[in-house]
Amino acid sequence: MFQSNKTADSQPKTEAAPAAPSAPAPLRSGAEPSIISADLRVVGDLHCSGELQVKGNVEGDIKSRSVTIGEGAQVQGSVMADSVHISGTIKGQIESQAVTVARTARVQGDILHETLAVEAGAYLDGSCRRLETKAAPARPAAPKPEVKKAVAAS
Amino acid sequence: MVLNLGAVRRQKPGRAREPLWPDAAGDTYTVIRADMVVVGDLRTDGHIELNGRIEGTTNSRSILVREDGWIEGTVLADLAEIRGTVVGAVRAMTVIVGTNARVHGSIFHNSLTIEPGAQLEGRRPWRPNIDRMQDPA
Repeated sequence: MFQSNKTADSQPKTEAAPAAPSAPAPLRSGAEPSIISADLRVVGDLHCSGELQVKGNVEGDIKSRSVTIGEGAQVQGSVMADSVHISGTIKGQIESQAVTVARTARVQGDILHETLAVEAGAYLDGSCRRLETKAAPARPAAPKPEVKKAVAAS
Repeated sequence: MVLNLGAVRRQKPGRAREPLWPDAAGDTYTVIRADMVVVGDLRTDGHIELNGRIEGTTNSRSILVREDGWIEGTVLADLAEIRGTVVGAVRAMTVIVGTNARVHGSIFHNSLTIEPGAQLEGRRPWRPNIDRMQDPA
């Protein structure tokens, strides 16, 4: 009757196989990123075992496999991930194997990294230290072997 | 219980927005996938599409809780479409509860649609107006 003409049909790719609702459903890995939109404000923590794009305002800690802090985004809290790309503003510690800081980024806080790239023009206020121990970043997801291999080979 | 939808719709104040699912590529479209958990409150004047979990209050213009979506907390919206699980109150001008939905809490609404098969526990009080911006939660 009202069967989601507007929702399921227009976005069939996000539609999961129908399953009996059980609360809470187990977490599954999605191919597509979660998106915190530009006008969204989160007061609390975000945990993601996949990819996360932040374009809005987050007051809290972020744990994810891959995080993109978009231009205009503001994060107050720590960021922990396998890879972090920053174009926005962060006040807090960043702990990640691969950190990329873009020209538009503004980072106030320490960066713990294995590989770090900083574009000219980025604002950095904090110390950058290398993560020597492989086990340092606590990841919510299963370890991603391809990332480790890439780092070891370089 | 089947609501007299016709009567309810006729009483709907002009303020109520037509259901709109904004462009997914827009700046006001938040997507929380199945691999994500939010522990905290979300506030936006845009749309939230939920496949994952939220433990906290959401305040948005519209929200779509898909079959895998799970919220533990209050849902405030102008338009709420629930196809997953909500443990907590729903306060929205227009509420659509889908077939596989489970709502454990009261649904405060101005216009309510319940599809057959939805599991609802709680009251469904009608209100002349529900303003999510002035809601204390």
